[in-house]
Amino acid sequence: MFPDSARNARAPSRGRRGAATLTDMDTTTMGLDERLAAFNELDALTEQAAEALAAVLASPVLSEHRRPPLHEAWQLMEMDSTCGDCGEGRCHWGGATKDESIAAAKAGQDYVHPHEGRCGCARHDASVRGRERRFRVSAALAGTGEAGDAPRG
Amino acid sequence: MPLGNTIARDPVFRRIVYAWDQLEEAAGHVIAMAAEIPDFGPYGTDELPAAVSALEASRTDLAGGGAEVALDKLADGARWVSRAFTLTPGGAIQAGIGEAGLALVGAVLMLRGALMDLDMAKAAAV
Repeated sequence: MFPDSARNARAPSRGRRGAATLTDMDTTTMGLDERLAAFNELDALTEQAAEALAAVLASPVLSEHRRPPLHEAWQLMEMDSTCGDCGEGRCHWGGATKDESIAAAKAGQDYVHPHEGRCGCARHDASVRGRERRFRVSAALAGTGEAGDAPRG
Repeated sequence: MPLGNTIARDPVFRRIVYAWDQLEEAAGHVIAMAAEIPDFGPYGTDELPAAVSALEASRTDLAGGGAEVALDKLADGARWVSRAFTLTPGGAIQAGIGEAGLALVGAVLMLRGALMDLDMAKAAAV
């Protein structure tokens, strides 16, 4: 836990609520709890951005010339908001369990270990939602020349 | 074997050429998307319109020949745009700037990626 003096040292004008955007926040002057809350908020916003961009990309009325830059932005948002391993079903399992997890992901399912349950990665849920977005965008982009199924990360 | 063929097959050289191609393509996207934005206010600093103009001029120079100088101008223009463009993707969603604005954000991300690839390709050649 940070001492009170560290919390008190935070400049009021750079506080979480006072920042113009989340990226304006000076997290170095925040307490630990506040910093974690800020990162969670940033994660949520990043996923919201990925969702919005996926919806735009999947739109049938999207102008063709806008598709490549929007696709780029979407891929970066997916990379930031999801776990690259979980996104492909390569969750944090070992051996044969990983193979089963990958097979489940390819079948559009989320793998649940008989004893351990689901993958405990902090971004697992976001990654599963990211997989669904990938399938959705991939279907919408079929035939456009853009690959919708390969977010980096 | 002609020297040109040897150079053209060199993987380091090919990587640099590819990086320049990527940068030019990304610059084209930025210019095209920027043309659809009436007001750059929410997107960056006061320098952004001038930076986009410089980038556009560099591509015109490139099309007209004089490759070496034009390529330097292209990279300079791209770096200027990158510096002047301050809107983040998350901020863009929050600001509700719409499809054209999001496309410009994506184009700038492409531009930054291309600049990074170019810098890495050049560094690998030294």
